[in-house]
Amino acid sequence: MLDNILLPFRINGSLRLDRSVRDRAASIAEQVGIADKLNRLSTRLSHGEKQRVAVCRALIAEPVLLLADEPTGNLDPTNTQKVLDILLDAADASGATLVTVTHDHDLLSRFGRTVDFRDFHRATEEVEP
Amino acid sequence: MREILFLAWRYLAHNRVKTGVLVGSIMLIVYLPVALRVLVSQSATELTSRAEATPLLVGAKGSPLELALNSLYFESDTPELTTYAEAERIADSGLAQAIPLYVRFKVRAQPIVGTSIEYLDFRGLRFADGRAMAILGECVLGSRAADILDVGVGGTVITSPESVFDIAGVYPLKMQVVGVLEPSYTADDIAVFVDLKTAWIIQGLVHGHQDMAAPESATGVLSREGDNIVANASVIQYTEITADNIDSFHFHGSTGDYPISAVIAAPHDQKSGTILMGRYESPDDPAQIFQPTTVIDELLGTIFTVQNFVVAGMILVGLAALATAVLVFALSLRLRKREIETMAKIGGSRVRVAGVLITEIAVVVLASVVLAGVLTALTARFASTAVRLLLLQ
Repeated sequence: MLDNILLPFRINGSLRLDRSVRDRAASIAEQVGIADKLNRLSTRLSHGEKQRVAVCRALIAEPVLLLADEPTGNLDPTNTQKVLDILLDAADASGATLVTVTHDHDLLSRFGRTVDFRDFHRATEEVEP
Repeated sequence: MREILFLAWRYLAHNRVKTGVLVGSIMLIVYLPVALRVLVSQSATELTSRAEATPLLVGAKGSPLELALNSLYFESDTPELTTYAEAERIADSGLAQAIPLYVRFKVRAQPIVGTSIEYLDFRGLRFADGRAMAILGECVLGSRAADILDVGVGGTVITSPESVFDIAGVYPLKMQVVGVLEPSYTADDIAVFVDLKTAWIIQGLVHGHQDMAAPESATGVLSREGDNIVANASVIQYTEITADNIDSFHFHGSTGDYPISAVIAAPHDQKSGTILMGRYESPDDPAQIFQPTTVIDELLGTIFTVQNFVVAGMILVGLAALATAVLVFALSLRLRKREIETMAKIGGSRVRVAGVLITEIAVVVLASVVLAGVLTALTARFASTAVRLLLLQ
């Protein structure tokens, strides 16, 4: 699983893998509650755990723009808050922009701006003859 | 590059069964034709070396191949027989050393080689135990023959009838084993060596029986004219040569008329060899002389032709297997479509992703070739012994 989190550094020639990156991977895994599964094969992870691995992999390269499509979709309430915390903290720490798509209205209050796509639908229907 | 190698390695290690099957298949595609060539080449060397160690062969006119196989490897049917006079003719010429061979009978499946004691020196055979045959009825075993017959010095072996239906044929002869040879990894290992006279005893040409002149043999006498005694079928013929009856063994007629299968002629020099060959040029001569290397080279030419067909067949099968391997790689790429897309989405350039996939294939091919190389090296290393053992089967 650790290799999976570090994959961006192996597949992207412009990123350099060193000790600090490995430490960061361990730290992010710790924050999302999968630190004890770092040496486990991905085939032996639950769907929620896989999703958290994907979040770790997205954050490991410290991107300036984070695009997350239903990042908490398969998580229980506790892990939902954990993952959301880490995404928001990571965005705050690096000054990155986090764009998330979600169906969970309880999470909307955590974001700076929200866009309801139903408004787009209504606007589109009014414009169309 | 290190990261690409790492990713390729991790994928292959994770799919170790698929990787193993692929490596094994490609390894066999490379290894089999090469190993076949090595083995055939080694067999050729072994066959040729035996032929090269036998300068000239003399025997009755007929198939030289049969004569060569019988005299060098103690295989094939008994060739047309010649007579001991041929060995005397060569020895009397003063041009070559003549070593007679009479390869016809067997102890179970082991060939009995009737010859003179010079044969052992000529082939450079050394004793692991015991000594050479000295009197009638003694034999020396090749190392493998001793193993197969499960007998050593002091034991006995019994000759086998030429045919199980030959109830009127020669009597089996019980022979004393007086020596066992060290392994030479040649046909000599499977042979039972006896003196030529013992071979003639096996055939019944030289024999021993009760003294018909003695008063106790009177019941077996049909008629008596001077020294000539005609006996009936009740005469006891000895089937074992012992100190008590050895003096009763005797020849009928001239030894020159007795059969042998071949004579190994070892010329004193090249000129003597050429002169000796010239003496057999006459079409009326009932004997033939030839260099065994010529015959064996012809045989090897045939083997190499057959081998080329086999290699061609293997190459075709190999190409088919290679096409299957390519198909496996292609299908694997299709199955890994999402994985490849993910790598591209998290920043992997097309070149780098392609690099990972190509490296995986390269590692599999390289591992196969290295394995095939190691196996080929091992085959070449042990081919000599393996081929010798195979030829002795």
